[in-house]
Amino acid sequence: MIVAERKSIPDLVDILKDHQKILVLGCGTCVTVCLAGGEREVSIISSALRIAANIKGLDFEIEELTIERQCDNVFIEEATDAINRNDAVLSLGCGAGVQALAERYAKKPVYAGLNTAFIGILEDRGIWAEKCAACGACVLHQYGGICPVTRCAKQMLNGPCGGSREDRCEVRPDRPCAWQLIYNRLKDIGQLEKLTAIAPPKNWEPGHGGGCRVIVREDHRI
Amino acid sequence: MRAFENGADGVLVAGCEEGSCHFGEGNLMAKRRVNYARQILSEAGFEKERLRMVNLGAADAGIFVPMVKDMIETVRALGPSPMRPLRCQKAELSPKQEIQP
Repeated sequence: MIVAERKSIPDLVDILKDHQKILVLGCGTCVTVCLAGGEREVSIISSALRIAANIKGLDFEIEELTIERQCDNVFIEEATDAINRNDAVLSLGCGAGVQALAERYAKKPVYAGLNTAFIGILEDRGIWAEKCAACGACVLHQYGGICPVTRCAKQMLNGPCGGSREDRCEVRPDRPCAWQLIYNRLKDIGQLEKLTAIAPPKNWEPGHGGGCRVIVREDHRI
Repeated sequence: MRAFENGADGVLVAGCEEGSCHFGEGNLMAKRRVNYARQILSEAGFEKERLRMVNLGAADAGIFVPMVKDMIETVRALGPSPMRPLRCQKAELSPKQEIQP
């Protein structure tokens, strides 16, 4: 899922200070699961904004709404009336959701209420960790399902680097060394011989280095 | 959050005594949520001291009373909520009305 975290209340007040009627719009998908922008967070952030506005003498009128998915026009449609009756939208969706709204409602200011952080999973209660860098050319099959691009701080494809302490990363001692994980995993599944192959330099063009990425499926085009 | 938004001067959340909650860790989770709410209130410029959580057993009336009195003293020292004028606007009350225990 896409993992995000909320901006601070002072930052949000500063972003919204020139508007009066504001729609705080949540998203029921990834950001609900990572407890950043679902119905519950819409309610909490709206309350905080009302309190902050009152203390600062700002005249916010805040409406709350959460739709199933902000990155999809079919679901955005459900918010049309609420968007039209407000001066601005504070989206608690990910960066894709914010931009989907801004593209759909060309004359309506749409602001990001969250900082979109990464593609990851819930590792433990209250802990989300990055697992995928969306590099566009997946190499997970070579590394036992552990991604060195994302989880090795040095993005080494021919690791380990030699700097790890026990099984901890040299750069982030609070995280395990990805190459230790790769070794353990390949050993467990009987594929240790994969480590004898030298990985050639990775083609980064399918990643963000080639500019904004677009996937076209001709079989689904009309 | 809604209580403060509507002009409450203080909110005291009372949870079970730690380690003896019928719902296991519900009271511990509640404490974390209350702390998070205090952080957000603080970010909003609102005195976080107006929100407090206490833990006590079902038969602890003896310590509950001083806990409530202490909360009242804290809130009295802070004065009326800055959201009070908004509440008074809604209910047509005087913002200078004294806080009643």
